[in-house]
Amino acid sequence: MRLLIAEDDPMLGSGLRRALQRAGYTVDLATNGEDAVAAMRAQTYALILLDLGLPKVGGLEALRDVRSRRDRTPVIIVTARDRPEQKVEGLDAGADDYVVKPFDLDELLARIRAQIRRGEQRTSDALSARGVSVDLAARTVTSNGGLVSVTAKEFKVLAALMRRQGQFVSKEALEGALYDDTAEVESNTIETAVYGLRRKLGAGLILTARGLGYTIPKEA
Amino acid sequence: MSRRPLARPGSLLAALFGRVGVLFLVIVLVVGLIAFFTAQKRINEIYDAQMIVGANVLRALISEELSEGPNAEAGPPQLSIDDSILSPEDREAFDSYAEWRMFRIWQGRRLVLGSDTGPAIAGPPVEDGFSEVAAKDDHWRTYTLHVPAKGVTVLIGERTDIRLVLVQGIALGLALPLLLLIPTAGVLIWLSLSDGLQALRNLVAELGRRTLRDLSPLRLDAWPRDLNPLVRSINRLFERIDRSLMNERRFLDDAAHQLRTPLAAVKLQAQLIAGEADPAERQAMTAQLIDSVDRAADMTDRLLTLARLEARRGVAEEGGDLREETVAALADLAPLAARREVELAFEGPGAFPGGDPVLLRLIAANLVENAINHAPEGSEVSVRLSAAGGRRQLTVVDAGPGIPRAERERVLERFYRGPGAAPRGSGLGLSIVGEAVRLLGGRVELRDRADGAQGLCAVVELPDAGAVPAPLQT
Repeated sequence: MRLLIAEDDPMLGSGLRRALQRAGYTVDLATNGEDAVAAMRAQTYALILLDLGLPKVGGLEALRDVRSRRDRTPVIIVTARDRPEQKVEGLDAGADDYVVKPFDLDELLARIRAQIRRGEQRTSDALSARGVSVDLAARTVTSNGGLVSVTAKEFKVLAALMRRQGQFVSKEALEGALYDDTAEVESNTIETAVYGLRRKLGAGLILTARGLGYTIPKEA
Repeated sequence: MSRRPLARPGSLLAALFGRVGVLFLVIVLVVGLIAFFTAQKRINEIYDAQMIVGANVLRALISEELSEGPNAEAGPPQLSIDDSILSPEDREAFDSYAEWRMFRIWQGRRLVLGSDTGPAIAGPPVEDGFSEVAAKDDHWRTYTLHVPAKGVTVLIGERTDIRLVLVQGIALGLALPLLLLIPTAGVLIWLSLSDGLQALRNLVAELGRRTLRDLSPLRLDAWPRDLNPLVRSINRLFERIDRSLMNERRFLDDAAHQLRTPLAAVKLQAQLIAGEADPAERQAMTAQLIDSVDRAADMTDRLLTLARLEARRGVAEEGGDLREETVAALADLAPLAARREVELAFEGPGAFPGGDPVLLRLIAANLVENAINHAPEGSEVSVRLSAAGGRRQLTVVDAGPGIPRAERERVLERFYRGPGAAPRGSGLGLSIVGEAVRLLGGRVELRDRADGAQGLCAVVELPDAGAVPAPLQT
C-alpha cells in the first residue's frame, strides 16, 4: 500500500509519514505541488493525502491534473480551509473526502481505509483465502482460527496479494508497495517474505510463476 | 474639483427652495416695478398731451371771442370780464373738470377769465410750456400758452394727485394677481423640487437595502444622468470595500492555514507519542512536539503583530533611534545566529534619530532574522546604517539563495513564501517589515547584492526625524 502525502509543512509532513508508516503503509512525501504532480504521474498510489495550500502548484491544481488523466486514485484533501464553499470546490474538483486540520489521527486512518476499500470495491477490511484471514484495519493474520505473527514486510506482501486475489502481482509491483522512494531496495526482500509466509501459513497459499510474479489463487 | 463643504449642511430641499423662492420673488418685484413705472410714464404723457390740447381749445375759443368783440378794429382787443364770454355749454364743460382742473386767461397782465379752482397765480408766466406750482394743500401741473398777436396768455392746470390715483389703481391691479401668483408658484416649485429629489431618495433607499453581501455595482442607466457622477463614486466605493473584504477573507484563510497546520502537527505528534512504546523514540518525538508548539506560538505572535500594525491609524510615538533599535535587535538575534553558525557584522556610526521605536525594532529584527534564516552555515549577514539626503538607510545583506526578480514584489505580501523560503519561515516577516516601513513613510527595496555574489540585499529607506510621514492609505 503506497500512499502519497502532499504537505508543505515539514513538521506535519514528517508526523503524518511516521503515523502512516506505523499503520503499515509505504509513504512518499512531497513538500510542494510540483513534486506532488510529478510523483502522481510517475507512480500509482493506493491513495493521496493532499494539502490545498501547497507552494508552486496549488493542491486543487494538482488534483485537477490527476483527474484530467482519468486517474481514479482516491484523494483525501487535508487542509485548514474549512468554509463550506471551499469544501464544495475541493470535492467538485475530484476529491473523495475532505478533512479539516487539525484532525484526529484515528479518524484520518479510518477514512484512508474506507477510501482504499471503496477503491478496491471491497465491503470490509477483512480478506480471506484458503483458511487464512488478513484484517487490514487491525493488521492481524489468522490461520485456521489461530493468530499468526508475521513481520511488517511479510504483512505488506500478504496484504498486497490478498487484495488482488486471483491475479499475478509482479515482483516490482510488490517492491513498490514495500519501499518508499527514500529506502534502499534490497534485492531478495520479496523472496524472503514469501518464504516466511509459506512457512507460517502453508506452502500452497502463494504460487509463483516465472515472469509473472506471485499470486494467491481464488478458492475453487 | 473643489472640496469646499456646503456652507450650510441643512436640508437640500429647503436650501433649493429658498434660493428658487428668493429668485422668484426678485423677478416678481422687478416685473411689478417695471410695469408700475412704465404705466406712470404713459399716464403722464397722455395727461400732458390732454393739457396741451385743452390749452389750444381754450385759445381757439378765446380767439373767437376776441375777433367778434365790438372793439375789433380799435386798439388792442379787449376781453370783457363777465362770464358771457363763454357759452353755458363751455362753462359746463369746465365745471365737469371738477375740483382737479383749472384754467386762467390773461390779457397783458390783466386776468380776464379763470376757474374757481387752483392756486392763486400772481400773473401770467413768462415762459410757454409745463411747470409745477405748489399750493397750500395740493400740487399742480400747469401748461402755459401765449398768443402774442393778441397779448393773451392761456394757462391750463391739473392737480398732480389725480395722476397718482390712476397709477395707484394700475399698481393695485398688477399687484393683486402677482400676490396670488407667489404662493401658487411657491407650492409648484416645492412640488417639482421634491419630485426632482425623488430620484435621490430612491437612490438612498436602494443603498439602504444593500448589505456587505451585495456589493454589485449600481446600474448607471437606471438613474437620471445628473446622478451618474454620484452613482459612479458609489460604485467605486463598493469596489474598494469589496476588494478590502476579499483581502480580509484571504487573510483569514491564510491565517487559518498558518495556525491550523502547526496545531495539526502538534495533535498528530501527541497522538503518535501516546502510541509509542519505545522511551527513546518518545523522547525524540516529545522534543519535536515542543518545537511544533513553539512554532505555533511564534506564528500567533507574528499574526498579532501584523494585525496590530495594519490596524494602526497613525504613528504617534516618536523619539526612536534606528541605530539603537538595530543594535538591540542584533543582540536578541545573536543566539539564533550562533545556532545556525552565521556571523553577524554591523556598521553604522553615529545616531539615526526619528520614528516610532517599536516599528524601528520590528523592521530591524524581521529583516535580520529573515537574513539569518536564509544564510548558509558559515556565511555572514552584514547590517549597515547610513544617512544621505534627508533619509536614513538600513541595509541587510545575506549570502542566501536570494529572491528572483519576479518574486520580489510578492514576498512583501502576507503569507507569501517564495520557492526558496526557509522551511521555518512564517511568510509574515517581510510583510511586517513592509507594513512598519509604510507606517513610517519609508520604502523597502529588495536588490541583488552589489558585489554580484549570491544572496539578497534588503534596503529600507526612512525619512529623517522631523520629516512628515506619508499619509495612510485606505
